[in-house]
Order: sequence, then structure tokens, then C-alpha cells
Amino acid sequence: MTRRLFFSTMTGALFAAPQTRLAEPQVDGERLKWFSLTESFKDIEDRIGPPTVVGDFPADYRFWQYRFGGVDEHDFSHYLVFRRSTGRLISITRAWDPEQKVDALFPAAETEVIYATTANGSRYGARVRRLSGESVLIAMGSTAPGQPTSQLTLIRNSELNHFFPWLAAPTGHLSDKEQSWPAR
Amino acid sequence: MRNYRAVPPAVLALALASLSFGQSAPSLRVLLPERTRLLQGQLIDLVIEVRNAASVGNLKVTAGSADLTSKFSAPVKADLDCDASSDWVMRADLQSFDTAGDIKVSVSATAGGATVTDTRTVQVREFNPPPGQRRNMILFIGDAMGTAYRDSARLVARSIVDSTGKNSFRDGYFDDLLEMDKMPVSGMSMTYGTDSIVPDSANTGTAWATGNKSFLNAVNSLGDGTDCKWRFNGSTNAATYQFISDNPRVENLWQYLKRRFGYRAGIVTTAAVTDATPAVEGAYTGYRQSRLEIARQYRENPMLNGRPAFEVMLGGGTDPFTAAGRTDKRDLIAEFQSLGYRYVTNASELRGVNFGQSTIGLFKGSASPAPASNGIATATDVNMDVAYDKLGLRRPASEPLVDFGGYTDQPMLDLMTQKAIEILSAGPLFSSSPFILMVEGASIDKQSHPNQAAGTIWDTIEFDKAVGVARSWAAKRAIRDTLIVVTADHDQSMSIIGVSNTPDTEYFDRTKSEKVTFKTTRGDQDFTVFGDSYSNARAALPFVNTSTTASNNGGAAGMPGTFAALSPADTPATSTYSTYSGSPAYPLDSATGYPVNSGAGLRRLAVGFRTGDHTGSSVPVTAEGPGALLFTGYMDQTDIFFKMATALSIDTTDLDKALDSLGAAKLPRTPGK
Repeated sequence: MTRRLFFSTMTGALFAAPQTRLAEPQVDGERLKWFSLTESFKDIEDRIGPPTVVGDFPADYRFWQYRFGGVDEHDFSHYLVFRRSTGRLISITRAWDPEQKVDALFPAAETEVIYATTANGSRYGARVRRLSGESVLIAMGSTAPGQPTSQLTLIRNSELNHFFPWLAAPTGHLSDKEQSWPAR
Repeated sequence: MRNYRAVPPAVLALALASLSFGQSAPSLRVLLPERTRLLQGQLIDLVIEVRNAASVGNLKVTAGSADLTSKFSAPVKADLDCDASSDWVMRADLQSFDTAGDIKVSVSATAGGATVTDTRTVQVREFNPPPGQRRNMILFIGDAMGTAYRDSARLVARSIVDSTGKNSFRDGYFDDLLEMDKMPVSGMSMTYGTDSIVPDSANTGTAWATGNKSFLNAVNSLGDGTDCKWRFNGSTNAATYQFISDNPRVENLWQYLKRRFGYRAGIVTTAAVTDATPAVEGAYTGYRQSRLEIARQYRENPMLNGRPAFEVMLGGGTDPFTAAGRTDKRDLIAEFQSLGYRYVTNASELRGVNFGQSTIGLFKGSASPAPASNGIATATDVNMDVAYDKLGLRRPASEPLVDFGGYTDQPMLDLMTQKAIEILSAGPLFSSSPFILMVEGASIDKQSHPNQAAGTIWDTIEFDKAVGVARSWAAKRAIRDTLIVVTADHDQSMSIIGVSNTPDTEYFDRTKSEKVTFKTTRGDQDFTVFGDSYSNARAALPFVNTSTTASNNGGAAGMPGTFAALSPADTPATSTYSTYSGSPAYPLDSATGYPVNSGAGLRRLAVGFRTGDHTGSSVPVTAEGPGALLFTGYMDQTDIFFKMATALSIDTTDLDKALDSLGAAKLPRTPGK
């Protein structure tokens, strides 16, 4: 099964409506076809419709949350964050329940695995793919091919420091590394 | 001469916006909600956030005449609001106010050279039981059990047709109401959260368990400035857990009573025991799906100096208690056992429990427990199976087949309730400790989400039988010392509707479906609607009323509940088939005590689901026992916490006499009550 077919099959099984299909990550060869992180509120609404929940959070953010398809009843399937000052999308997280394998989105040559040391001292890893156009794709908790994830995030590189500082430092190479959270 | 030009408003706005984002003035906030209400001695984390300051000093915190400054930690650098400004946090964990009344909390500090302040008024309510008063508390939570759910359960469980055709629901009256209907006091509870008209089980549970409102997914925790790291962008995992777990905690009634007054505490649920409703009795976290941490806090509770939260814990969800299911590889079941807890795994073992030893019963888990990829939960949350399936009743064909996963001997909720009460009330030898117990009918909601009406309704009936167990136990007590409250955390979208007319032959026929397309400006949306949902009548079947009561046999022109005995059972197209002029009727399985959802010629209740999601409607509350009268009228959900506390801590003699007087023979009484 090709990667394209793999993802189409996976998402197609869950979602039938065109709107929800447009909210799902797709691959064309090894190229990610999802969001560009330049979209405006209107672009998003035109593409996937109005959100289930909207809210602002300081200092300059607005979130839109959607509930498409097979997610647990009290969580959302899509979490979008915008900068209010620019009106542009800065990140999207696709939450899955049950977890999904996302190997097609993380070709080995473009993927690094980064670990955080959590507050209780354990290690927590993610597969990270730095894409052209200043965006970063992250599979939380998935550190090797075949390992599923429940959270796939696409975020602007310039916003990593605010939300995922443990992933922010550029590595310049594609090997494992470890970052520690600052203790609070 | 100089020319002065007015600054265009847009330019001015941009300049001000730039100033506000780049160089905001220092500010200080104490993380107490505007309407914070606490009991005397109830623990709460006092947290102060300072924003936009290179340094913080000279902290001063007073509560009334008390100086709390020394309770606070030194300022810790933090990134609040995800904006990279220089922020600080100071904490005084697990503080309390010992004097009842309105307490003014005042905070001041110097931040970046400026003085910043904040104040709150905290309402502290008295909790001083009269000498010798040791009352028990049993709270029943029907998850999502709004009025339509209670009504549906009544219409199914109390529309029993006997072998002579006599229906226990005749002419619009019941011979026998539900157990929860018979409780003498009723009210309504408004369930809004701090961020939600339509809440979830976590923030509603926080309301009735702590007396304070919070946000969606919060378990006994309030919002804070690091929520931006996880709450709004969906990044809930081990790497962000420190920001999920740093929210201010508010002690719940279970730990409060156990810590201060020696209560024995318990939870009973048909969900996984780490699900939101049971979690609010024993854990503290910003995110309800932090299952591993919730299980750990049951074992070593932060309000109890690391002692276990409960003497009794019965339900599903074994996985987060197993070494295989946990990231820290702790075997919490073994740890409980080493503390003297008995561990049971099925109904047979539970039936054998007959004395007061602390007990854990986990009645369903997954075959291969494993941590989830997010590092804070298990890969699978395994709830107990629903009553409809445990009873072996037949589901419509479009619903998934039951999978017991080898757990074929799961107890019903009434048995679990009975055993929990026996264990908690027995206590250690020579002990007279009172107890507090929460019993949840969890799958009323969980079956409502996928619109599985029969599963929902039979779980409500199961729940009501558990209420009956508690009422019966309390009624036999030598003194009236047990308050029973029945309510829901939130409502759900089921309604009793005016359509029906789907015979068994279609209702259970998977091939009866229709493809529907909605054409929209953004594209078409395609649905396949199956026969049983096509009529919006998941539990609906034709019914021929064979009542021997004359008024019920008048045909369509007669009294409500009227069908000629010879109406055909399987031709619903005839005009005589309508829920508007018919009454449901179900046969009773005498072996189980539950109605059966089948039977030729019997009409079933018609219900429909608008969405399958929660709603923002208020939910009913019923109460019985000492202080029950407090639960009358419309109330906020947080009031339930304070009403329970008040009923346990004051002399309710006058209230109880007033309530008893309403039962006088000369006053009207509802048939069946």
C-alpha cells in the first residue's frame, strides 16, 4: 500500500464528509499536504467550516477547536491556534482516539527524535520533521516507526519557544537529542 | 508655526497595541475565582502570578487579620500566557481558612519597581457538627441523567404489562414510581462551568465535589497562566504535564471529611474508576485524562499526606493500576494489597465480601495493558459493560456487538452499591466512623453519546435499583443518619419524542438503511442512516394495548393509552400507531428484575437524540434523609457541595420536621409515590 493510499484509507474510514477530509493530514509522495500555517480565520472556515469552540487566551492567541469523527466524547479532534494580531494560523494539533500510526508523515531521512526530561525525571520523546516554509511536524510520544501517536502537531518554527521549548533549539543534524524542561 | 496633525485612530490603536504586547505594565493576580466559597478548614492552593516584571519582592499576603506571607514560596520564574514576558509564580499550597465569614484576601508586591496588588473576598462557611452527630452521605450521580433520562427509565421500568395484559402505567399514572422519584425533596441544578454553558463530567464534578466551578476537563483544579501550554492547543502529554498539574487545587468533600472527621470514603462506578466522575472524589489534575496520575493519587492522596483516598473503590478500568499499564511500572494493586486491601475482580468474589475490610474491585480491564503514547494515560480506558448487555438483551443491528473481553461475571450496580455500603458502614472493629460514598451510573452518558437508547435507558434503570438499595439500607437504620442525594452532572441530548412505528422486523434488520446527502455551499455531506435510527426511535416498537381496564380499550378515540387489542403488531403504517395515543409496555424478566426490550404486540418508548452530546440544560436533584429539605428549588451545582456539608454539620431537626409534615395524609400525594 502506498503512503498516499495508506493515509487516504485511514482517514477515509473515519470521515466521509469533504469538510472533515480537508482537515486531515495527507501525503503526496513524501510531501505533507495539510495546512500551510499562513491561513486566515476565513481560509479555515471556508475549508473546514466553523469551529465547535472558540476562545482567546493571553497574550495574543485565539483557539478554534473542532470535533470531527472518532474522538473521545469529551475531547476535540482538531486544535487550531491563531495569532490575533496577524489573524493567521500558527499551529494545528490533530488528536486521535484511538492512537494512529503516522509513519507516512515521517520519512526517516527527514525525521529526528527528540526527548524531554519530564518533571518527574522520566524521558518523553517525539518524532520531529522540520518542513520547508518554517513549519515543524511533531508526533508526540512516537519515537520510532510503527509507534502510534494521539497528538500530531504542525506548528510554526517561530512559535516553538512559546509552546514546545524542548523542541525549539535547532539541531543541524538528525540524531536523537535530549532537552530538559526548566524546573518550576 | 508648527503644523499639528491629529494621529489617525488606526495608527494610535496600532501604537497602543504594540505597547501592550511589547511593554505591558507589571501586574499581579491571585488565582482565586471571584466567587470563591470554601468550608472552614478546606484546603486550597493559594497561587500568585506576577506578569511583566524583571523582579518581584516585598510580597505581603493577608487573609482578614492573618498574615499569610510566610506561607508562600520564593518567586519562581515562569512563562505565563506563552508570551515570553518575564513572569513569576509564588505558591502557598494546601492552605485553609479556619474562621467562618467573608475573608478578604489582600496581596501586594513590588514588581519591576512598581507596587502591584490584588484582592479577593472568600466566603468561608462553617462546618462544626453538633457533638455526637455522625452522619453518612451517599451521593448518586447519574451521568447525563437529565429529566428525559429519568422519565425514560420510568416509562420503561414502570410500564410493565403482566400476564393478564394489565399495564402498571395506566391512564397516565404509574402504580409504582422509580426509587429516585419517591424521594421527598426535589430541585434543579444549573451546571455551567467557568468556560462552558455545556459542561463535561470533570468540571461539573469539581463543582459538586469542591463547591467551586472550573473549566472543561478540570478535576478539582482552577485555571492558571500556564494553561496556554496545553489547554488550548491540545498538547496534553508527559512533556506538558507539569503545566497540567500545577493548577491550584481545591480539596473535595471526600478528603475533607476523611482528613478532618475520620470519615470512611468510597466510590462505585460502572466506568473506569479513573474516569472523571469518580476522579473528582480522589484526585487533583487539570486534565481528566491524566489517568496514571489519578490512579496514583488514589493510592497516595495529596490531601491525606499520601494515604489512600478510599476504603472502597469499585468499578472498571484495571489498566492504570497495573505495572504494564503505567510508565512508572508501579503495581498499584499490589501496593493496595500490601496496605491490607482486599482485591476482587468479579461479581462472585464481590458477593463473598461480608465484612469491613477495605476493598478494591476492578471488574474489567484490557487484555494487554499499556501506557498511551501521551505518557499520562493508558492506551485503553476500559469501562464496565452496560446493564443492557450484562442482562443479555438483544441490541439493534446497527449497534456494535457486545465484547465482554473475558469479563463475563461483572456485578450489577446495585450489588456494588450494597457491598460498598456494607464495607463502609461496618468499618474496623469497634469503629463508629461515618462514611461518604459516591455511586455513579456512568454509561447513561456513555451510551447516549453514540445514541444507543436501550443501553442508556437500561443503565438508568440499573442506577435506580442501586438508589433503591441505599434507600432501603438507610430506612432500616435505627436513627435517621444517612443523607441520600441523587442528581446528574449534566444533561444529554435524548428526548422522548412523538414518533415510533418501527416493527422488530425492521428495527433489527441491518439492511434497512438509506443514504442521505445534504448539499451545502462547502460541499456535500453524506450519511447512511440505519433503520433503527431512521425513525429516531431507537427503542420504539409497535404496541397493542391489551389492558383489561375498560378505559384503555376505547380505541384511538378513547382515553390515552388506547389500542384495540386486535391491532396488528407489525403494520405500523396504520393510523392507530402513534406514541401520542399509546403507552409503552414491557414484560418483566422475573429472573433479573429488569424489563425486556422485546415481545410481540408490545409498544416501546420512542426517543430521539438531537446530537449525542451534552447539553446545557439544568438537571434534577432529589434528596432524602436528614437535611434533605435543603435541596429544594433551583440551585447552582456548587450549592450541592455546601448543602451536603450543611446537612452533615448542623442540627437539622426543624428542617426534617417540616419535611415530615408534608407527608401528612391530609396533603396531596402523587399516585405511585
